[in-house]
Amino acid sequence: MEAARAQQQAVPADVKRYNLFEVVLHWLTFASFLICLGTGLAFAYPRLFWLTNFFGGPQTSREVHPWAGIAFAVGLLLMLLLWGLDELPAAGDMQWWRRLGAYVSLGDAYHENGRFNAGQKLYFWVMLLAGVGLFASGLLLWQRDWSGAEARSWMRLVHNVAFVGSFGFLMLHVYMSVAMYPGTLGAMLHGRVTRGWALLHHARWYRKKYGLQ
Amino acid sequence: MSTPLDPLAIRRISASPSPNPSIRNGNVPAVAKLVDIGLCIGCKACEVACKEWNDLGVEDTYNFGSYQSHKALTPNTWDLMLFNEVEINGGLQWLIRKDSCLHCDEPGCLLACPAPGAIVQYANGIVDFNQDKCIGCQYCLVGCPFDIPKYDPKSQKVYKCTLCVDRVGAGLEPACAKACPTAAIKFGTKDDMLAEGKASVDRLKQRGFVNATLYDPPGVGGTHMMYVVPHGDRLADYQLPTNPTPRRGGLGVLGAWKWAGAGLLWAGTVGLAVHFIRFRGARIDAIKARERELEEQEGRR
Repeated sequence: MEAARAQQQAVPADVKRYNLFEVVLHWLTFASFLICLGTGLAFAYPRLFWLTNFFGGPQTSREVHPWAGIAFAVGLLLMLLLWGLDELPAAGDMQWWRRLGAYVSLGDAYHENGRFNAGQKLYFWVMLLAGVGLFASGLLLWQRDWSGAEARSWMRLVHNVAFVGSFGFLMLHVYMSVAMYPGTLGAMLHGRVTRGWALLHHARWYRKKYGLQ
Repeated sequence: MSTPLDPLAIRRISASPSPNPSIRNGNVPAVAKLVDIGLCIGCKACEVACKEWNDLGVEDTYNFGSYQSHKALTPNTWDLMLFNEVEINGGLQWLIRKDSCLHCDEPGCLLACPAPGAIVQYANGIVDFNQDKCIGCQYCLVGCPFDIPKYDPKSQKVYKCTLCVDRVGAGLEPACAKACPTAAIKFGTKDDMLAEGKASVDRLKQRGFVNATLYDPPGVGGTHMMYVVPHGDRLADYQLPTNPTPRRGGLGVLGAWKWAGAGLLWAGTVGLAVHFIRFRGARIDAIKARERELEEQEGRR
């Protein structure tokens, strides 16, 4: 008991959640997605073709889009290596889902989560799956000699479906981090969260990090 | 035969959400080329004439075991005689076909194109590419059921037959039709060419080509280059699709899905806004209070 107390003194008011590499990786991946999004929306919807003006004009947009896509894919791959283990299903996930209503209504949601809660895990794997779909279909649309026109017509559909999935979840992700729970955005700005935030969302991760049981 | 091309009479513009300027369309007669394969002697004069008029330059060729000059159309070969070798009744037959853009009335290339104005269809039916607006995405290659547009990696643009839009605009027939020594390529209004084509098919049938047919596939709304095909039961041997459509494979679903996808995303946006209005505000204080409560509990552990 005394030892635990002493240890607790060492726990700072701010808890380190992401290191600099993770933060930079996150924003570079985000930037590459935004480039793909802006240019891609222009190609998908003629009414939004003016978006190409922000990316150097129509031809440059078309040139940039696949390269930004590769950057996005590399970002996702690094995220998989960094966070993949923490994103695997774990005890408590089902309890979190059962109290989803409380989470959405900002009520007393399940907070005994590891580094990521079940919702974040879903987001991670959806983005990864959409990323694989976007990358594979985009690659075939880019390298026209690798497949026939019939196959590429289906790749256009796959690309668009994966886009809607990834963009929908991204909007949710942005909203939740910026506006839903205060203090969340800071984790991706300076890498730190408050002790209260850690306990409210990831109590198990917090205790493990500081050896508290 | 002269049919004026009114450059202002444009029927369709690629990737343009505004209604097309179709008010004068009824005044411009549709034009068409008629390629009567029964009259073709395979001389390739049309190939040369196309190269010359369009100033497309010479392209190296090599012997790959065929009389064909190239294996397929290229960015600067817009007209190619295909020498399809087929066995019919125990004998060799050349099912020669002049391959070039068919100028579909429902052009798959134009419908698939995401670049505004890169592909236009004139009121007279000619489908033309504006390379200055082309972004090189090659979606037209996916949309075209005849595998006509060809991408040039150097200029990063796509090229194909213009149906000599510049000649037609000056009241001339296309270069290939002008050069053809047997009048196997004819040019005129679509109505006239349909009548000529049907008459030619009838003649072929009387002479024993019972399967002769006029190739004007309805799936793409008919074409502005039609073929009189002596062996109409062997379209595949001519390398012609039996029932081409302007929206191949996934493209048919894509159009509907894009609307559905946009709807889903807007619905999601509205959902988030509603959530913000409903739960933000006073509840933030509750979250803060809950955090403090948990911190105190943790301190007592």
